[in-house]
Amino acid sequence: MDLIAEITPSLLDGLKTTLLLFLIIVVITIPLGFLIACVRVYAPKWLSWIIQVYIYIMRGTPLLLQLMIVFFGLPLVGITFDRFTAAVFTFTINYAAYYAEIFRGGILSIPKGQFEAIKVLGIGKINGFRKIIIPQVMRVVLPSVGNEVIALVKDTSLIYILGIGELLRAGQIAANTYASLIPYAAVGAIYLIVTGLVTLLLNAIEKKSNY
Amino acid sequence: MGLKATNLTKQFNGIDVLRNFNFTIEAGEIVTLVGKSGTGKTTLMRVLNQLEKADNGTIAIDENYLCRETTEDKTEYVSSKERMVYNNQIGMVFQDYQLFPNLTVLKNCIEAPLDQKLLTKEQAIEKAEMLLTQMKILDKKDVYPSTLSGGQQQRVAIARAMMLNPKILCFDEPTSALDRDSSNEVGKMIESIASSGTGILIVTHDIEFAEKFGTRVVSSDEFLR
Repeated sequence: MDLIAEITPSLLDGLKTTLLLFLIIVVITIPLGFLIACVRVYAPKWLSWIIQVYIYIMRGTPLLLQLMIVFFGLPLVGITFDRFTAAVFTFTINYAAYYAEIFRGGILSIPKGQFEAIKVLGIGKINGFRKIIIPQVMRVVLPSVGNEVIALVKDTSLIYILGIGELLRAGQIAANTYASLIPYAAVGAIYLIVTGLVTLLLNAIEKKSNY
Repeated sequence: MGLKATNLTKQFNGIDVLRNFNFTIEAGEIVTLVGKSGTGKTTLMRVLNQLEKADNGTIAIDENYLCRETTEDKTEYVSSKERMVYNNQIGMVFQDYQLFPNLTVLKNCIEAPLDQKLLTKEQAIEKAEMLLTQMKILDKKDVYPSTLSGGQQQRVAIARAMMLNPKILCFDEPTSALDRDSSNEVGKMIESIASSGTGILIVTHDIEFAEKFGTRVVSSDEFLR
């Protein structure tokens, strides 16, 4: 018990960084992924092709490698980020690619007839997309988006490689300091609490978007 | 007065579907379009509703043109603003209705006139409730389409199309998913819409329905001449 009291402040400190990165990435990448999906579906072929290559690279290589390249590799060609910016940048381009593919599937799942009905009724393209298509896309993609959001909670631990003091690193340091497994168990419990809360939130959103 | 299409030509995958086809729908008339599958009945309806482009010919409702035949044996579509005017003179009820599943019945009806700023919200709701009453489906105005039967969805789709006061209303296979009783019921509703001066075009496989409710039956054999 004493040990837990002892390590709690440093774990909570790590948790702060973990949550900060998580929130920033969720807020940036979901809209960005949607935008990329729209471009991929509606833009000219050459642009769509560039996006396909980008998505292939992001999904086809480990996120850990991408983090290393951005933080350790890019300085070799003169581009230097501080640790946290490097993490935000890498997670953004990586997760946006996954979301783009999820949203693309969502957009393509809407029957052509819905777009035709919007046209025949003379509803403006932008308004029709915003009020009629997007809500349907959201409903289709929510379970997959939820999967990615939960994966993101855990993936934030990868930034330990950049030496950022997030939750897992805080746990590892404590485990080494006290030669104990308890910090690892505590870290696991904290991840479970966070993902549990995120799951509850996602369920609530899913329920609200039902029609 | 009504819809007039002259010299209409449309190719699909290099094959003529319509060739120099002349066609009219007068106000209050119910034209039923019959013929084998794949003969272009739905294509004609889609051309009239701007979901496909004609290769040649002239289409107009009263004095509002959609496209005009030019001397070089081509057709020229009018500006997008004029197409919008034409668009509101013609409505379409899809075979699978295509109600918006994320909007309630009432919101399905009022979305188009509100988006086009043709009515205030109060006016739109009043009009929608009147049409939904006429279609005998007012009690479902606050539910989502997924809770309705096919026949009920169709009546909502008719009300939704009528919100824009079209002079011409098109139906793609309105009886394909209905039993005989329901077919007769929708036929009578279509008759009552026509009796107020709306010209009706119905694409159908159902010869019995076509002959019973059509004031004029057109066969797709006439498309190619």
